[in-house]
Amino acid sequence: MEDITTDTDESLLQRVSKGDESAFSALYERFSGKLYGLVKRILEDEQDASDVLQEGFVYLWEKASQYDASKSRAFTWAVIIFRNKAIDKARSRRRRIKLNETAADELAPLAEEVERADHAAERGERAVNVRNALASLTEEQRKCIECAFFRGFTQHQVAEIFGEPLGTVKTNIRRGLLRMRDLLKGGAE
Amino acid sequence: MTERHEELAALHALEMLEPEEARAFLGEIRYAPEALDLVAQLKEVGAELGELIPSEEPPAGSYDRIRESITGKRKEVKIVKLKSATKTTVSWIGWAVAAALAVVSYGCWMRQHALQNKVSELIANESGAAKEVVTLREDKLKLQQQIADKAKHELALNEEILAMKQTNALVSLEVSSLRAQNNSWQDGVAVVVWDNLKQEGMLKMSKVPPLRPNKDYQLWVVDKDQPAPVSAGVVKMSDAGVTTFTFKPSVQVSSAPKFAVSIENKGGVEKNEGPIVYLGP
Repeated sequence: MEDITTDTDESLLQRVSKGDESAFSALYERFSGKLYGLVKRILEDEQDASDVLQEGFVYLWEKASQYDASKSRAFTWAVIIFRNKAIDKARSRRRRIKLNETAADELAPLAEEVERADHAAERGERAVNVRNALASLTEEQRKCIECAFFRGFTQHQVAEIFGEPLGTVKTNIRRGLLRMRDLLKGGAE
Repeated sequence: MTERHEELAALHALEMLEPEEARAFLGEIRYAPEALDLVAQLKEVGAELGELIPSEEPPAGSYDRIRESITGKRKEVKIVKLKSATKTTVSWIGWAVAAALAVVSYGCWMRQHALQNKVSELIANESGAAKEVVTLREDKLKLQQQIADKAKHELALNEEILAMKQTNALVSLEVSSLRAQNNSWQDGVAVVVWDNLKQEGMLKMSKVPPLRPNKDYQLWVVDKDQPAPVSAGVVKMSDAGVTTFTFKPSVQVSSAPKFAVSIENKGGVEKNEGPIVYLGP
């Protein structure tokens, strides 16, 4: 019998594409905690988050054959899927119409939470690299990217929350992401 | 790639664009592999942030519900064994009734199955048609955008030409807009500015289709005093299908030359052999 615990995420996902339920179960064990944490943060509602978690894993089961290991890691592929579903749900319900100082205040603990998450994620070298890349950005770039990624806000909403011109937000997002890309590739200092 | 495209690629990668903004952007970069590649790279970078999310235990029973959902979709019809009500002997009438019920039930099940298949097929067709309509609408929007871009581009070129004319007011400049001779080159723009006094000119081309690696574009001067078109040189294009090419024919050219662009073997030829793709008026 194969030892499923030693399989990489990518090989598990490839086995899922062939209908392997044990691989699917293992993948759920590995991904569900972080993915649930992500969609719950975006949706701010446990029931909605639970629904999205279910939709996402059913989608993953059905579309695993579309995954291309040469283009992305299995985890990032899953993050993109679950995040899109959560954002679609959040925006369709127009949860975030009211953006005021209270919303901005709510963002403040995010950095701390991420920091705690980093400690928990130190099992993976990748998480450490991502944390370092994020920490190397300017404060403004980091805040804009965190607000967009972890909360699912649009460019206009982020500009409103931080009281910044839209152009500034766009520049921060562009420079921040490009720098992270270079750092994660091991290019830039 | 423009800074604007980089900006939109980053915003799109983090799902920060509104749906209509995202559609317009994707339409704009549909044929720009560099921009599409950047979007994919930045999406991957963005998704890496998922590593920093604290793990949270999903609600109890989540996995069971997911599994039910998955297995429910491929549930097979189970054969139910009918048991007799008692272990006593059963009369043939009972068997006959049971058999008849089984036949009727099977008939009903078959009919229901066929109807379900038909409904699924109709839903799939409807969904396919709706998707096609959406795609066609998107294509229409993209085409409108391309037309608007081209008009804008031509306007910019005309302004550039006007500016050149103004700065060279004392020089006799001839400006020729070359016409595409083939549908495949219709989207491209080729303009020649010819200074007859200096016997030199400039060819500006944009949105011109790329050629096979063993082919080059070549510019020709068609002069009534010359027995055959005179080569004005091989035109090297950028990857984006744009060039500004200055040239000076090797022979004296008359006052009203025509210009043509043809496709020739790599490095160019002495006498025009290949097809003419742009020709001056």
